[in-house]
Amino acid sequence: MILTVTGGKGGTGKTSVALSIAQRMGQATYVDADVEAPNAAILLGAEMTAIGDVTKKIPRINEEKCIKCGLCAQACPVAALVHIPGKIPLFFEENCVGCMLCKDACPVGAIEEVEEQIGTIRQGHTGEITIYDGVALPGVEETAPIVSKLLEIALNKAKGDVIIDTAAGIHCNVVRAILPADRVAIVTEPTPYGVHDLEKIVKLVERLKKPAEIYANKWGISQHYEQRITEIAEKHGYALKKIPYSPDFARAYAQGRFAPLVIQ
Amino acid sequence: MIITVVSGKGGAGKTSITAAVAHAMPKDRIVLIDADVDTPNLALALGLERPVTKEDWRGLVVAEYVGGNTDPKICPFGAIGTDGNVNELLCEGCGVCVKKFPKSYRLKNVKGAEILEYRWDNVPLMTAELEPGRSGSGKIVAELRDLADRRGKEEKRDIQLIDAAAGRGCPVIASIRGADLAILVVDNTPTGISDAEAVVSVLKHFNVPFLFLINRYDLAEERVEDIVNTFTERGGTYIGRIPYDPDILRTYPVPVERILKHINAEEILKRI
Ligand code: SF4
Ligand code: SF4
Ligand code: SF4
Repeated sequence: MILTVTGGKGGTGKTSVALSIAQRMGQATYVDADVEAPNAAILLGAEMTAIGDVTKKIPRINEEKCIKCGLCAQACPVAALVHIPGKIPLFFEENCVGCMLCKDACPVGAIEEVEEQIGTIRQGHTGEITIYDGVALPGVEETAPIVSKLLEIALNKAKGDVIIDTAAGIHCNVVRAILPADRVAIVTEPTPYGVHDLEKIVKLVERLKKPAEIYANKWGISQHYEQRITEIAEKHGYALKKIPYSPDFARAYAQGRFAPLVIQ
Repeated sequence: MIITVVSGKGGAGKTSITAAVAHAMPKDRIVLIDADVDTPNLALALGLERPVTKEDWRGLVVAEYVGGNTDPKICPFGAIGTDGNVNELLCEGCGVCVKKFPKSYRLKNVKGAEILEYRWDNVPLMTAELEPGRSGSGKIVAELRDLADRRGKEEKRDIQLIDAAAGRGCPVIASIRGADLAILVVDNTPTGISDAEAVVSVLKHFNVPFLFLINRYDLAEERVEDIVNTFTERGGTYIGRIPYDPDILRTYPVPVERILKHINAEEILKRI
């Protein structure tokens, strides 16, 4: 079974909930799909080793061969190459999607394809859990290929149940991590912000047509917002699991000790 | 003058702190931007319930399959299925399919977000709510910054205060690019610290000087000195530490005075 744990807003304790579920499963695979801020390995104190690079293709113009015709810039769908008449085209790497249409368009074969590293996929262990994560290199804006590669590697190697921990938010990298799921666990908290964001993530999960349940973390800090969460769960027919608020947990977490949460 | 509040990690207290900093600033000079378009919370944190204007943002471009030749492999984002159809939630609108198969694919504009403008007293607050699952939040942030520039000019407001998104990808970079100053919120947890360090590398990349403060410092007080040293060495200026206070989270509007009394707001004002 593949269970994706997501939470809309950051800071609701999504990773802690996901790890707690994983620890109850025994032999499980844990995929930390938050490649912009991978945290599971740090929380568990797991040693991670690189098992693969994520690269992107970019063009390199051989300046000696280039006849400055500008056909490559015309072929580029995203304006990553800009041609000023009489000059070698300028390359804006941050726009490039690596399609190599420019290479196909060049009449003199002046464009070469080079692989550039944008991130790393890592693997580690803690107890019976195998962890996979991905790390984007600083300054890399487009992290979707890292998430895709991470999921591909991890799901291929996984034996038994899989937990996928998504990034915060409701953007495309979260979608990528929800798509392979059999079920979705939505983590929230009884605060005005938690409830506001819960409604959005529910919309997303419905749009992706996945069965889901709600895990309400820090239960007990606000009756008003607990009521709201209960209503949302009932309205959508989701099971509601409660995790009592514990100040000790926050302290242990801050000190780098991860203790599984109590899920009711 | 553009000031961006960043943290890397979600839930580090960035939005509450942005709300507090806004209170400390000259109100007639600022425009606020909530760039966390996935889950914008700044309006809520300031106690604002209703936007004054709300508009669809249809600047998002996606591809559509109209039939004919195709090859799923050409899509750099894996958005094309074996039947040629485009999964709109994965499509980044790059146009590669249209260039390769001009008869089979075309680009269309779709609604990517709602752009909202609030008023906090007179202060404009620009934000957007992303349509769940849409990409392009970087573009929306750029759009918000354009709008804020316009408001600033119209109303002679020369300071933009931006509450950045979490993470360090495209929407965050869109909030950092061109900023004159960043305020970095370091959540005092092992993950909060490593995420903050990752954001510092982005700040360095764009040459943005930064002030930093530590949130929930008392949860692991023995680490505070280390944090101050680490981020000072990386060029930051230390402006305060805030104790753990669950009330800040469950109360709204945010009880700003409980944050402000721990921050050296003078240091921020000095820079503007
Ligand atoms: S690889 Fe594609 S996106 Fe990059 S420069 Fe060439 S044509 Fe443009
Ligand atoms: S298409 Fe080839 S020859 Fe023409 S400008 Fe581009 S790189 Fe140079
Ligand atoms: S526009 Fe780009 S991302 Fe969208 S389907 Fe076409 S090739 Fe894929």
